[in-house]
Amino acid sequence: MKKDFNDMISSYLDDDLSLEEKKSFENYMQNHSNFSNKVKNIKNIISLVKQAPKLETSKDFLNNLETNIDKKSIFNYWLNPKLKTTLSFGFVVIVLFFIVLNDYNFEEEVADNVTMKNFNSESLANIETDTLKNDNFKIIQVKGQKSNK
Amino acid sequence: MIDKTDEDLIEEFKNDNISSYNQLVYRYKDRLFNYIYQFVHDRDLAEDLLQDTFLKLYTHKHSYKKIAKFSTWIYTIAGNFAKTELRKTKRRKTYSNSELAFKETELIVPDISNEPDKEILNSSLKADLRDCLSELPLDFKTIIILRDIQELSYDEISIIVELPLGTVKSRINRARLKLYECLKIKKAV
Repeated sequence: MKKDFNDMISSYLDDDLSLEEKKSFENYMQNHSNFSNKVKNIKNIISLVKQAPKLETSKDFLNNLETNIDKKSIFNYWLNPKLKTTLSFGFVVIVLFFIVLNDYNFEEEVADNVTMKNFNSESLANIETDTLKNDNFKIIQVKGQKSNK
Repeated sequence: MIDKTDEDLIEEFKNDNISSYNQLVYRYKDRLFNYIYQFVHDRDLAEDLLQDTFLKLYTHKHSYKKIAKFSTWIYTIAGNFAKTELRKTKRRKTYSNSELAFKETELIVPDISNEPDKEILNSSLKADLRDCLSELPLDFKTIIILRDIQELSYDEISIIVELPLGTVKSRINRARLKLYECLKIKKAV
């Protein structure tokens, strides 16, 4: 039975018991001085705990908070989902631009190489023709010389 | 003029009204500072954790849902920071928590009585009480701080510690009985 009243001490002190419970609790206290002393002591302990010194934040607290919020705001600005999306999109566009540009340069280079090859083969052909012509001329000349002799 | 409720202020702050945020900070800074201090027993650390709490309020304002009381929400955030720090400190430190608590709280004991005898008796009892409070398991300590130092209602405590009302009431009772037993062992009562 006493155990039940022990469980009710806080509720009694916090005025959280029904009228009936309160009456029976007070009756029990009247008949048990030890228990009554215990309740009084706990009441004193609670009031002593309530007297715990009330501290105040330092004078710099609000300024420091403002500084921290500014820092956090800048950080958050860079982590802002909208900004992140925009930056990612921008990055993708730039990368694509470079890829396309690179492809275009490559194609131009290939085209240049082809032209160069054509040019080289054409020139080579011309040179060969000229050489042949010259050789023929030389042959004709040699033949003429022979006939003159 | 009727003061705006905390819930009004947080709703205004959600709409980017910074002055509402400032009012909330002003209302809660000392209360939460005392709350956090009771866990960490270090002024600087308590202020740092309070800064973290208000920064979280600033950056996570949209996490607050209208169904909850603002006070329980902000106490939960502050308590979580304090308990996380306490666990970290417990892992790191080489000396006992009770020693730390005693040394640092000693510096802030105010004179609360004009009667010299009563004052001596009170400060001796207070020192024992601080020891006993710091020796309490974290769950009991949290609930005593919320109920007897912060003077929150059972309902508010129930939301903050995420326990049913009945469990909160019985835990408060057990915590107070533990304090009483501890002081009895120290022959303080």
